[in-house]
Amino acid sequence: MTAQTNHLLTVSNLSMRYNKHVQALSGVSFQIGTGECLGVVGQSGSGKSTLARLLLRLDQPDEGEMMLLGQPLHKLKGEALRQWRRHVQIVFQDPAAALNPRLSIYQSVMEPLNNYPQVTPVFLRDIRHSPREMAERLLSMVGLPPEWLNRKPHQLSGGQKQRVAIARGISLQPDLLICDEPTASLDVSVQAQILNLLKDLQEQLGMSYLFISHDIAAVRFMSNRILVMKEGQLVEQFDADQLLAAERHPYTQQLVQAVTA
Amino acid sequence: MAGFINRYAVWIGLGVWLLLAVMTLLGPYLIPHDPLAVDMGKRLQTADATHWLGTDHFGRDVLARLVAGAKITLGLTLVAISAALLIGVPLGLLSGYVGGVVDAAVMRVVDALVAFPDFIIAISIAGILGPDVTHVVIAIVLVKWIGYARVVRGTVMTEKGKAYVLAARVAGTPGVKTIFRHLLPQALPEVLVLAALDMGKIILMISALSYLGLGAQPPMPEWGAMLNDAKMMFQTHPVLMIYPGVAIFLVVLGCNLLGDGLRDRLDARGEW
Ligand SMILES: Nc1ncnc2c1ncn2[C@@H]1O[C@H](COP(=O)(O)OP(=O)(O)OP(=O)(O)O)[C@@H](O)[C@H]1O
Ligand SMILES: [Mg+2]
Repeated sequence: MTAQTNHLLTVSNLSMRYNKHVQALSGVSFQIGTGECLGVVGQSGSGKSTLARLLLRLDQPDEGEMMLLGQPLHKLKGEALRQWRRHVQIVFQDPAAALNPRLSIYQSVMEPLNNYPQVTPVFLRDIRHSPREMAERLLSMVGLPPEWLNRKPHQLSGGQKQRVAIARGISLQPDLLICDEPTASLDVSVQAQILNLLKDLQEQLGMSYLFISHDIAAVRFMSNRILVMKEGQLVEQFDADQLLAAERHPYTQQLVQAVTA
Repeated sequence: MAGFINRYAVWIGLGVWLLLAVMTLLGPYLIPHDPLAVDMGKRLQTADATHWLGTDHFGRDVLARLVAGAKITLGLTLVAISAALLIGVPLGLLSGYVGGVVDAAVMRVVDALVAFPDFIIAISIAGILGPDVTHVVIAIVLVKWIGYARVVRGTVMTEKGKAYVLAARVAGTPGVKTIFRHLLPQALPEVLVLAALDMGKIILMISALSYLGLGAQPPMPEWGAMLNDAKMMFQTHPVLMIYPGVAIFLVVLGCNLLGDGLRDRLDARGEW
């Protein structure tokens, strides 16, 4: 990253407790640059999903600031918050749970765009007037046949459902797409395909990613920089190609050894 | 037999309701007697070609009264159940979705009401308001909305933390839209089952309260009121109690079969 002005998101001193005593996050600070992918690794329970929930404003931080495009994300309320949500979208871990089983693929894919009639992503500019065509294009962008719009989630495999969830996630052309273990619930054979798709879309659309995973190899493949978390605290952050460097924190080395061993 | 009833419970239940509807719509054309027409010269006649089920102690045609009673039962039950749904479902949605103070307030009322059996509350309310069939319906609605509020609240509370509801929030879907698009459809199957079962209970309540003299008043041919009317003559003319009794029994059975059948299908398939 070159200049400070290039930062999309600046998080400072973020803390969050569940039920007043579970300290899920304490004093976390980092930045994400425009078009950058920041990987997040850490053991189960280290606060990765909590961080995602705060950035999505599904929960409120107890302390700290989140500045997105110069706006204080942590202060937004009501309609202003709803309007701001389109800048940060998510791909959840389990696509089966993230799609309403009663709705068709078409309905699920179009839900975000229907909520923001004034938003026109560049890749939909020529067809913004036609919901059907937009939905078809979104499906083809994630490598699914447009005819599948009329299907229900249960007619799709896990990997296909995750593609639908990704289509939803990119549909508003968000500045930041959070991926919370997007391949963890998928078959090993399709994990690589989904990672490639996410990477291609990032380059194509110039989005920034917060990529959360247990899979260190996947994080290294996806990310420019990596952030290591432990028990709600930031252990260290570094450029992705420095993952195996000798000066890595012992905890990071431990995580790396756990996969290579 | 039990297997047959289990398998076709929904259809048998629907069949009973269909029969009731047909009786209500076509009955007046098929039976050429006024259910209220008194003819003291024809008191307590046994069944014959003109009066298929005989006449009562005022010489009124029993079948005509049973058919007119079906209309009253059907009408009052539908009014009561609709009102209970219209109060209970929105309150359950609100309570479950908003939580906090709103939820606490609704639940306090619910807890106070569920402490007593439905029937006791209904009798008390009907007793306080005075004997009238409208008062019975009001009493039933006041008791019956609670079930819907609880069922809907429970579903909303478990569903609202699930990923697809969070995903809707992230996608910018406003709260009200999320409730109607994502949460209400999830609660609907259970609501339908409860409504089917409640219809049987409501019919029984209306009849029972009318039998006790709190509900429908003479000469209204409501089934419970007919039972009440006939009870002095039970020794000499027991059929006058048996006909409305059997009618009540069959309709309540139909409602319960419908409710149980729907519940089994719901359990088996999870969604429908
Ligand atoms: N809704 C909640 N209520 C109470 N505690 C919670 C809740 N959600 C998470 N926690 C706790 O907060 C801490 C951080 O959880 P979080 O889900 O952020 O971890 P994570 O790093 O995403 O773990 P995983 O890798 O297993 O997904 C854990 O101790 C967890 O038990
Ligand atoms: Mg997590």
